[in-house]
Formats: sequence, structure tokens, C-alpha cells
Amino acid sequence: MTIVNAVLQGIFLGAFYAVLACGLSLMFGVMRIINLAHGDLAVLGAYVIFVIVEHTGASAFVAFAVALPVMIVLGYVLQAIVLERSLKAGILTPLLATFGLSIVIQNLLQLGFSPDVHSLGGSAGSVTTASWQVTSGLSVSALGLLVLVVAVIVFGGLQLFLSKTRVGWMMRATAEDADAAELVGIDSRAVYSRATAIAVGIAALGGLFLGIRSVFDPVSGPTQLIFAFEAVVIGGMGSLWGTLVGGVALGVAQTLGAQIHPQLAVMAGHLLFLAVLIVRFGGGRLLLRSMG
Amino acid sequence: MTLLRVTDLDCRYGLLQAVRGVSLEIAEGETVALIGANGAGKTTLLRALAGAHRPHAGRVEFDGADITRTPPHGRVGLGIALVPEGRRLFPGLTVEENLRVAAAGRRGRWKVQSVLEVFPLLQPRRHMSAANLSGGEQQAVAIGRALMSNPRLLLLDEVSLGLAPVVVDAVYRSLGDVIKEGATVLLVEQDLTRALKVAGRVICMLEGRVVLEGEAASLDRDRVVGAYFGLRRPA
Repeated sequence: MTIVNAVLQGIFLGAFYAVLACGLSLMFGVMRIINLAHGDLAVLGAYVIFVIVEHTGASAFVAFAVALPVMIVLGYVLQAIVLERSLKAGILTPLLATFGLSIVIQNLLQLGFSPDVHSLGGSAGSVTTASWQVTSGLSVSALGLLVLVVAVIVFGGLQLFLSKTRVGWMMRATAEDADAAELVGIDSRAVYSRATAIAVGIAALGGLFLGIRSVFDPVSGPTQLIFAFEAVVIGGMGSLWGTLVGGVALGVAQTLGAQIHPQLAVMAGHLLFLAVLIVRFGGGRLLLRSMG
Repeated sequence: MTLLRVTDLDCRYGLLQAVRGVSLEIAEGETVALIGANGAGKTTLLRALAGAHRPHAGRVEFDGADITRTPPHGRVGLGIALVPEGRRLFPGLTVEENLRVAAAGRRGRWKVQSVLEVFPLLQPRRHMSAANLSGGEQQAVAIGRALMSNPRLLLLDEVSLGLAPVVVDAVYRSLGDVIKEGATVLLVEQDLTRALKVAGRVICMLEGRVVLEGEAASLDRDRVVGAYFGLRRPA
């Protein structure tokens, strides 16, 4: 029964990773940008929510509803003043630009909020503590279930948007062939701005869950980025549903690892990530050759 | 009335100069064939007209307005559409999505339904992924996709490339319908006979320059062949 419980908790944890990874996957899929500042944008979102909660005393969920448009606008601005320029300069420049952005965000947060840790758990109401005991060894937490449901809604909604709306087709067309998309009248810069805005908005959602689940400080971003990045790679780069599956696989690997030894939790996730890398990118042959 | 005016256009890829001082004019309603050997600069010229290639020097005017710096999607809005070399469909989108995604700005006669009427072979393929189409069907989608923006000037880059002769005939029959609708067409075509048949005027390029230009009916085949291969260059 403990294994079943571990898998269940892993799915809940993985849904959180998937939400973190969603925007990363979208930006990679549409623009081929690996956004190294994605984790920091999620943490920035958590801080924006935190500030609203501190000033108004509102619930973290209400504060998120206020923070979301702010973060979406930030995404637009980020695309217009940083990423759009760097995209013109080849594939390495956006990587370096987002790396720099990551450092800038971390330092600004240090400056504004000190290195103290914060949490949104206290302002999220009873959802943080409520849970249902299914059997003696199996419990479902309200927060875990909430994250899972929201993750499915986010991924499902994004999938519907991409497959059913004209703006979604424009995004897919631009992702497949930006040059040809321009030739049929699609403004690729507008498409990229929209993609970044959506990605940063979903990152803020990840920040909300991060803040409710545990604590965050100005340098929490890179750790979140690693989990998000692993989820994207495990699920297959640029595939949206794959990212959800990848996030869940990562979460389950971590909780199963923790069953063996608590210190093995994060390591088990890394090992799964490495195994997928080796299998998918033909590393098996490389490994054999280096051993033989 | 002059629809398109190109003045002293230079296009470069790094040090390579693909188009050298090309000037030409196309009147509304004309069908012009652009011919020339491989590497003559035809595709680059077409891409520069569509805005996909930023020219090094020169000027492009459309309907009296300078569009030299207008990005491709802006030119589609003005009424220029290019069917690019190699078709460049969106393979992950269905046939219908490929068409609908291109229905930007300009309204007019061409809608999904009217495109499917001109290319009836696409009707049963409507909900199939564009990646699973035959070459001829893909070309039909590429032309249909360009028509969806209701262009005033349609640029066609080697629509017959890699297609069986029967399919090429079918594609050109459909193009005839499009031309009858009053569209202005500039097409690149390797097949000289076909180019002379479909076009009212022929422009021949060689090594980035226009070397011969004239009414299709008035040009004799030998002169065209000469210009095409650069056998007898005009002094």
C-alpha cells in the first residue's frame, strides 16, 4: 500500500512540476528558446502574489488573479525588449540573454525582499491542510488534488487553444516554419509575444503552487528550473502532453526514490532524466563504446 | 496601371550577389513569366518581392507605395502572396487549417470553400495532415493557401517542380481559373514552352540580371533560349 501511496503522491508532485514546465515547453516549442529564467519568473510571480497578500490581506488565490495580468504584461514586455532582439542573433544569444535575466531577477528580489524565505501557505486557507484518508495507508491531500486538476485544465486548455482557435493555428504554423508563416500573413513577432505572455502567466501559476506547497526565497528559481527542464526532456522536447507526462514521471520517480531512502528522492528524478537522455539521444551506443 | 514597380534591386547573400540592379514593372491583370537557368536569381527576386529577403539596395513599390521595408506579413495584408519554392506547408496542420491560418487581412472571393472548388482534389483530404499529401495535393494546398489572402499580386515559384506532368497540367488548369479571375501573376517556371503559353510577357534572368524581356507572342524561341543560357548576350 505504501507503494501505491507513493505513486499517488508522486502524481500530485509531478502535476506541480508539469505546471512549472508548461511555459518552458511552450516557449521552446514555438520559438526554440530555452528560457533559463523560467524558474525565476515563477519565483517572481510568487513574490508578486506575496506582496499583494501582504498589502491587502487577501487570499493567495485572489492575489494570484490580480498578479496574473501583471505577469502576462511582463511576458509581452520581456519578449519585446529582450527576447525579440536576441532571437535575431542566432540560437546561443537567447540562451545567454535568459541566463542574464535569471541573475537580474534574483538580484532584484534579493534587493527588494532580502534573502529571507517566504511562504503563501498561511494565506491559502484550509486547502493546504485538508485531506481525505482513503484507506489506512492512502491519503489524498486537497492541495495535491487541486494542483493535479489545475494542471489538467491548463494543459487541456492550452491544447484546445492550439488545435481549435485560429490564433492557436497561427502559433503552430509559426512554430513549424516561421518564415513560411510570415509569407501567409502571420506576424511572427506578435505570435512570439503571445507565446511568451502565456508562458510567463503559467509560470506565475507555478509560483503560486510553489509558495503554497513550501517556501521560496530569491534564489529558488534555478532549482525549479531544473525540475521543469527535466519534465520537458523526459516528456519529449516541445510536446505539450509529453510535458505533463514527463512532469508526472519525474514526480513519481522522486516519491518512489524517497521510499528507498529519503535522500534518494531528488536523485531518483535525476536518474530517470539521465536514463531518458541516454535512450532517446542514442547515448546507449556512446556508453557502450566508452566502456568497451 | 502599374501594380508593381521594382527599381535597381540588389540582393545579396553575404558576398554573393544574387540579384544585380533589376528593374521591372508589372501592370494590373498581367501574367508574367520569370525564366532563367538555376542560380539566375529568380527565387531570390521573388522572395525579395514578398519581403522574405531584405534587399541590399533598390526599391520596391506596390500600388504606388514604397514597400521596400515592409515585412512579409505586412505585404500579405497589402495583397502580395508568394507560393514559395518547395511549397513550405505546415505539416502538423490539416489541409483546412493550412488554408484557414492564411486567411489574414484582405477579404474577397477566396475562402476555404472557393479554394476547394478550384482544387477539387483537396476536398476529400480536407481534414488530413498536410504531411500525408501527395506532391500535387501539397502544391494545390500551397497555391490555395496563398489565394486565401485574396492577393492582388500572386507570386508563384516553380509550382511544377517535382510533380508528374499530368499533375502539372492539372495545377496549371486550376491556375488558368485563378488568372481568369483577374489576378496579377508573376511566375517562375523552368518549362519554357509552358511559360510562353501561360504568360502574356516573359522576363529572362541570367546571373542576377534581366537579359531579355518582351511579349510572349513576339519572342521567338531561339532568342529566349539564347538569353536563357547566355549564348548571345545583348551587347
